[in-house]
Amino acid sequence: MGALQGGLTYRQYKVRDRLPTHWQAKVQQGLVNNVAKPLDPEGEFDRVVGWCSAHFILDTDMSLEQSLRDPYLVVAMRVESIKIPSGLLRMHCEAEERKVKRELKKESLSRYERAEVREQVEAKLRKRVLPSLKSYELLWNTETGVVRFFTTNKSLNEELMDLFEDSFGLVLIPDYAYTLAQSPELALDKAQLEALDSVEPTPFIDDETLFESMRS
Amino acid sequence: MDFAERVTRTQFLGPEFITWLWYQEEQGGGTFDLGPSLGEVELSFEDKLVMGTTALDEQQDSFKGGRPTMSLEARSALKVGKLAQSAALRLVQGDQEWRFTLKAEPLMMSGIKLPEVLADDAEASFQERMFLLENLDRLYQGLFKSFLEERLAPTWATERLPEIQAWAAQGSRNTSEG
Repeated sequence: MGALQGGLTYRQYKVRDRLPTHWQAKVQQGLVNNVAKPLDPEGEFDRVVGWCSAHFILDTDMSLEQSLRDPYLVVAMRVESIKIPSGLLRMHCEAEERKVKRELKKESLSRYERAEVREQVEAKLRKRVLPSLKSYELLWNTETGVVRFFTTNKSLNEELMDLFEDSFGLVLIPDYAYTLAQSPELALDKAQLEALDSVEPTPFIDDETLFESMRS
Repeated sequence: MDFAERVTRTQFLGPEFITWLWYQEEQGGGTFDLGPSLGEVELSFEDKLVMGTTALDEQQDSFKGGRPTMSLEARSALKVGKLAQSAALRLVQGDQEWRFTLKAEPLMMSGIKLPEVLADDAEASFQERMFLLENLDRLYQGLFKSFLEERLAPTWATERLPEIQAWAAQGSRNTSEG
């Protein structure tokens, strides 16, 4: 389900502010500054997020020339993460705890000692576990300001909003019934927009029918 | 009231919109006149429908296969005050046909199947795909605008709502009810 082929499932946004004149240089810089970087197995992060090509996840040469298909900017948000399987971590922790207990000639370890063992085991296993690498396409219509991000996962969408703002200094407003109603494309008049701010839910079934249906 | 509150408070417009489309499809035969710039579109409900309410702990009813909007079960859900939370829809304009699922909260389309792309080379194919996607977006906005024009009108509560309530109370013309 992506931008370039097959069915399309995405979360839609509108860029809140107008693009500045000569936006191309700023966007190019934003892409380069926030390009996806490889996760360091010896580093402190379990997860890194950045831009990559929409065509190939390992291509991080983020030239505007390659990413711009007028008027669309077509890129992808790459997420690289390391997660040690919990079962594997538990087994290795237990083996290491047994070893430490033997060395220290102790029946049991304190909470602090166990935490230290866990930390060491995690650091060791991180180097052996392959990180997972995923990318999610993004289409930005630079004329209309509509951005489509091709996953509906909530936390990934939150990461995208942060990455977009960090990269381009622009805020994404997610599409909701309210924001769509307010969009200039719908061109609601002043009275309708005022009514929108005070509209209340109305029951699509009358009380009598509802009562009869609940009884039967 | 801040922006986030307004967004949250108006989420109910999503289920109301999809249910209004259902009403319009049955009452108006599925043809929507979206004005001179967008023209007419044909909309039909397809083989998936989810009904529910925003009330806490209220069960959702999922219908799959056939034409759920014509089933007695879906009408029964409507009669106990449930609204459409998502529906598989087919939208046709001229010789172009889109299929998608319209979800109510947040209001969005998903699983969009575009009309067939005819261009051969990669760039032309991409631009045609985008054209078809933007066209769908315009039609979708046109439908939502039609709904809002009725929903936000002062006559909603006195004219259109009683008609919808009468329709919801009746049971579908096409069901085997009776």
